[in-house]
Amino acid sequence: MTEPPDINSEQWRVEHPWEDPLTGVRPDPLGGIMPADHPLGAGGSLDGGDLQGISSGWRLALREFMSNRLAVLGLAVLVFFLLFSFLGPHLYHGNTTISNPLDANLAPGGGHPIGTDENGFDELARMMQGGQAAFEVGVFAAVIAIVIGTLYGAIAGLVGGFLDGLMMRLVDVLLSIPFLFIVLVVSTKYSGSVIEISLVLGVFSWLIPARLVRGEVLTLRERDFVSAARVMGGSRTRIVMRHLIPNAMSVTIVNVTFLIADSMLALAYLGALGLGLSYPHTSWGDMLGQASTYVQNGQWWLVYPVGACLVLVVLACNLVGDALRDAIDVRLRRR
Amino acid sequence: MTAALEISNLSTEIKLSRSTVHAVGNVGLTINAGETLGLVGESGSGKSMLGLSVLGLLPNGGHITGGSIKIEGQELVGLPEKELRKLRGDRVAMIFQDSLSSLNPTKTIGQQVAEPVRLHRDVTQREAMERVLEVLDLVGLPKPKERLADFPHQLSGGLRQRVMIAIALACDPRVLLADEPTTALDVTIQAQILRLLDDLEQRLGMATLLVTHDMGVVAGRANRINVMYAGRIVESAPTELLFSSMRHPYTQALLGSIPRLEQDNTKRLLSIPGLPPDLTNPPTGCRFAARCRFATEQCLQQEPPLTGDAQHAFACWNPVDGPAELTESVAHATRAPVQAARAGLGDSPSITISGPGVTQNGIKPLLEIVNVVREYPITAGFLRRQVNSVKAVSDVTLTIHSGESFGLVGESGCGKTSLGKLIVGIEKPDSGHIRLAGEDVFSYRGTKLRKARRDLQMMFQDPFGSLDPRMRVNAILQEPLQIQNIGSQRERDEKVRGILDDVGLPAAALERYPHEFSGGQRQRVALARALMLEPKVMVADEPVSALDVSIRSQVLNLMKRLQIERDMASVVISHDLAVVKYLADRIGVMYLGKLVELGSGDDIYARPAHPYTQALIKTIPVPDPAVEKAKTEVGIRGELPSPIDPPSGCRFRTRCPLAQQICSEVEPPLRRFGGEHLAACHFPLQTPEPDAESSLTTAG
Amino acid sequence: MLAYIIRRLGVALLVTAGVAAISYALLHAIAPNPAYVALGDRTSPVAVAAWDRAHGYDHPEVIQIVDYVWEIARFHFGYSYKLNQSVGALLKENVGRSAYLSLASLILALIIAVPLGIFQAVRRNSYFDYTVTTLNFVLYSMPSFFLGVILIQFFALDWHILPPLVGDNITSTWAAITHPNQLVLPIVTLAAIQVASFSRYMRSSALDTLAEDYIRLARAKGLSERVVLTRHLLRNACLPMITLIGLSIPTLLAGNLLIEYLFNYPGLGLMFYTALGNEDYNVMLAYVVFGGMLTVLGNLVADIALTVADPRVRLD
Repeated sequence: MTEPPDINSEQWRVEHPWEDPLTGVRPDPLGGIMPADHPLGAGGSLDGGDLQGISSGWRLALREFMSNRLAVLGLAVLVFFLLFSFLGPHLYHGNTTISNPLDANLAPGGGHPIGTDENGFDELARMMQGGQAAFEVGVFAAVIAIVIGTLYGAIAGLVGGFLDGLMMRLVDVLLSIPFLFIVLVVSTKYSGSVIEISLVLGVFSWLIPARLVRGEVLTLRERDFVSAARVMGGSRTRIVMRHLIPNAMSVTIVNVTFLIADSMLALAYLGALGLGLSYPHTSWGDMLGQASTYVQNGQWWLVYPVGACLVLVVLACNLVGDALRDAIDVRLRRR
Repeated sequence: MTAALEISNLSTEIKLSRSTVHAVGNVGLTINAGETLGLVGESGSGKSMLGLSVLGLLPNGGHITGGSIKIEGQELVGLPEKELRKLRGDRVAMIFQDSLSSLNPTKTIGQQVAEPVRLHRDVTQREAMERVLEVLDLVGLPKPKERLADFPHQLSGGLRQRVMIAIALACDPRVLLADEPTTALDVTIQAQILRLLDDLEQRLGMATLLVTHDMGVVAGRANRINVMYAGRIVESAPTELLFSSMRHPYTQALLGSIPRLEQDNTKRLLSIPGLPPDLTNPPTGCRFAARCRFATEQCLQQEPPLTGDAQHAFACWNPVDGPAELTESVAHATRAPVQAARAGLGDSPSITISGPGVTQNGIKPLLEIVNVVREYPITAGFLRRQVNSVKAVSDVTLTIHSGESFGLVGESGCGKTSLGKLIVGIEKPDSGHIRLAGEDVFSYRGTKLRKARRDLQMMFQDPFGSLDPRMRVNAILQEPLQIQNIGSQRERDEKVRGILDDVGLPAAALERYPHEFSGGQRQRVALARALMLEPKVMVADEPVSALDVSIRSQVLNLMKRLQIERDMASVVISHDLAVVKYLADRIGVMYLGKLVELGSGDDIYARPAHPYTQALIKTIPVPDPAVEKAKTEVGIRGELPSPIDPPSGCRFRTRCPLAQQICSEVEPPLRRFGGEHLAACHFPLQTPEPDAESSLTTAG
Repeated sequence: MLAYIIRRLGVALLVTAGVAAISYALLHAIAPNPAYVALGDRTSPVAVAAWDRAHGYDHPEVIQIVDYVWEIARFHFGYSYKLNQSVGALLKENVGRSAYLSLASLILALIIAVPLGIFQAVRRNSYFDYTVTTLNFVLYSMPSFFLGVILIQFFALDWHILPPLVGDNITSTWAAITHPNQLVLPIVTLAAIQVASFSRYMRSSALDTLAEDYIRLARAKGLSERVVLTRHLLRNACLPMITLIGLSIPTLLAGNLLIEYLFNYPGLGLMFYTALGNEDYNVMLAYVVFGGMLTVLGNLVADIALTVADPRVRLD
């Protein structure tokens, strides 16, 4: 099957310039390059050539994103789990607070679609709770990290010189401290609530975004359009606000999705090692802490449904982030 | 006799994710042993794809859809990959444009040249190395034995290109495909490499397909030229015939659009309006019709076949006869203000500085660049201490008058771009002054500086990097007015629309983002932005070097017209002397950070005083077979020394044929050669004015 | 070259000192006074003050930090009052087994990932490429312990091919090496997680290299595709991998921790996990600093390896 030519593809150029409704036919500004009897009309096409029929950058990016089936799937998975976690508890009620040995370790069936755990808590309801924790911690931690990282990186990149060197050496040092270990150590004191865990994760994951933003600011600073703004007399503030920040944003946006995925994974690790949320709250990682024992006892329902949720959500975030990066690349490819 | 390379009816397609590019359509050509065929076309014309088709090395998704390629009678189309591989590098070899990216960075020169020998010849390692030394010597690599263990990045661009040629010649190919072999090189090095290719072809008797966009490059060395446009060969003729009596309007326009050194620069260049067609969906009829002055109804309906005799074939319904005469004057208005200013100067040289901002006869120059020095520090180590510096601009002094158009020319690394940035204040001089109307504007701060910047604007080289990708054209053009706080919103809108019209873009462009424009259109937007503030001086850094030939003349004509219409001085910076001579009244030649010669276009072209200027003129390939074939010497030998550690005395002495002892000891001062013609040389080619030396002490 | 190595070594030492100082300051801020651990919770303030004085805990923070960095410089990692043992000895006891697990999985991962990534790049946009890319994404998004659980389910519980946990008989590095069946699951799990990120990176690096002009020139010489890949692509495409491997040390250590915890394999990770449970801050601090040292060392080795592998790298 041959597809019809896509008018917004990169290669597309106005095929019949004289028919372009956007430009119409206009004489050369100097007058008379095209003789009046040119079959395309007096004056012919525009001296500068006609404009190409390409949609705006963001629409181009959106199109590229939507054409990536995996990314659309990822987005759908994220929407589903958001509804599952935040709307689910209003539609499905299960015991997650009162320990009930009589209901303990039930296989799926009856009133418990995904069975119960050793406390007699309903597994499905707990999964919804865990989902809330995953999204909340993921987003909070990512936002904290991106705000610190962007500010830090932007300042280092803009100020430059000695201070930049100093700030980046500090990042080098902090990056050499293994992330998970320092987070675990701090978690021995500060964990248990969503806010605390988000803070701990966020405060220790701004380093990579800081480096990326600094690099971006440094390259942008050398770009000709920034020089042009300076030549016009643009103030430092104006150059930062109008040129540097908007252009550095794409790096930041892509990074947020990856940070969310990483924070969710880190939350799972904390939970699995027993440093997760405190009762009655729970996270998917908390629920998987004894997974090895569960499978050996044949309690598969306590492992695979939760694990699948975790993998799917993290996977979806990574897919969306990857597609966003590619989409923004497409937009910038034409620079 | 069978031809070394015979291509007939060849068609090539490249499948992309959403569309198919019909890159080459029904192309035929023949090259005999010992002959060179020039294949000329703009980017996207399919000329490179044709070369890659011969080797069977089309990019992903590319394949040959029909036709035949024969090497010495042997058919290549349909040949199994394994058989094709035996031919590649052996009987057919290829030279690519960029020698830095075409050589494997982690393998030594010796290994890379030996590879095809070991593969195609049944030889021992020792014999292979002997052959390597032989070809490296053949391509003129000095001391090849010592270079064998070098890595590509350790060689200069010219030497790397020689190594790539050595790889191609290692197995004595019958057919050599050279794809833009000199485009990435400086003119002086380009001349050396072209000379080498000529020489090799004669000595080795191979057939050469020289693929290029540059008519000047093929003029002197091709026996025959094929012109390609949008995947088709539109004209094919022996070189002299093509230049003297072309029949296709595209060939005519292409040749007429190239600025030439000897040309009267008040005449408008022939320009080809619009853009080449999209090859994913080529128009019916003649592919050039939409941009052709002579197109008729028939051209839109029917595609013209390649007709004519074997000697001279062309594909056109309404052929032209010979080159077009450039008759149209650039502007109807005369340059009254400029002429008045220059008339007032009399014979008093503008370069003499007898008091701040005032020349001897009391006329204030617009822009004075006084003893300006700019050196970029090179730092090393943990503490970033400065170990050395790149001497980008060394003690340059010159003066520009209002309304004047000044050109700066020189090879890459000569400091011309740095000087341009110094003029508009992107860079600050390490010492020296830049004065606008007598005032040292860059010593100002705050609002005063902002206001002063209005008069000095710049147009950048890279049409992709100079426009903020996140701003619409409207915002881009409004920005200078906002920053300078000029006019009400309505006045601004009006002004934006007016200037857009001036640069030949429709009002619809206002709502578009930069990425929606072609390179030439972007350069128009950039020009419009520079003009928004109606500057007194506009610096244009390589304004057309990123553009295709046919688009180049559009922008050149536009700049020329706007220069004249507006009472604005401009500084045009380019590596291309022809471009500079076309746009500028007065030209400065730079070499390694020094201004070596200064004079009117005619002074520089017809009466060069500095050996470097003369050599530069000699090396530029001219689109005229008679001139090119008459050239006997290479021009300049050797390579540009490093600007980190420039030669003592006269910086050109290491490459100068006239250099003597004094040149390495004493730096030559600028001397006058009549009027405003100055040059810094101990042994100038013209006779200097007497006692000019004492009156001019610009150096030091 | 030697000057370059010495210079890089100097920087590495400075960074390590920074790591030690920051880790110490951070732990000092959250950990309870070790005197209570050493002497018991109901010790009198006077005794605590005396203990602090004796062990240098009464000095100003800055002095304590400098002291600690000096201790670390002499490879003195402190004392675990919970276990009544020097942390150095503890590290020494466990480091071999962890190193074996980590290195074996790293090597296995590279053996799989490098050819896989190149093959994907050569066959890009084929079903093979799509399948591997998707699989990589899933692996990349999977917590290592969950992958371990799945492997235990299949290989140990369902098919009874391998033991689910590492047995108590693995008391030394030698024992770990001589009982390969016990280590298969931990090594494979840890390797699989690394394969995901390595092969993804390798694929894009190989794609970039394939687009290089020198690959086209190599083909124009008439070399076969296999020779083009092995002689011209492989080395150049692997150059960025060197840096990546150096940077992946913290991830490797984290994976190590979770795998050792899951399979009950006695190594540094399990030691750290036990310390977490015991609130044994000196052990935690020591392992954080030790991990930092390994990270710095990894980067150092990668940098030096790069200068050997890539002739373009300037030594300054």
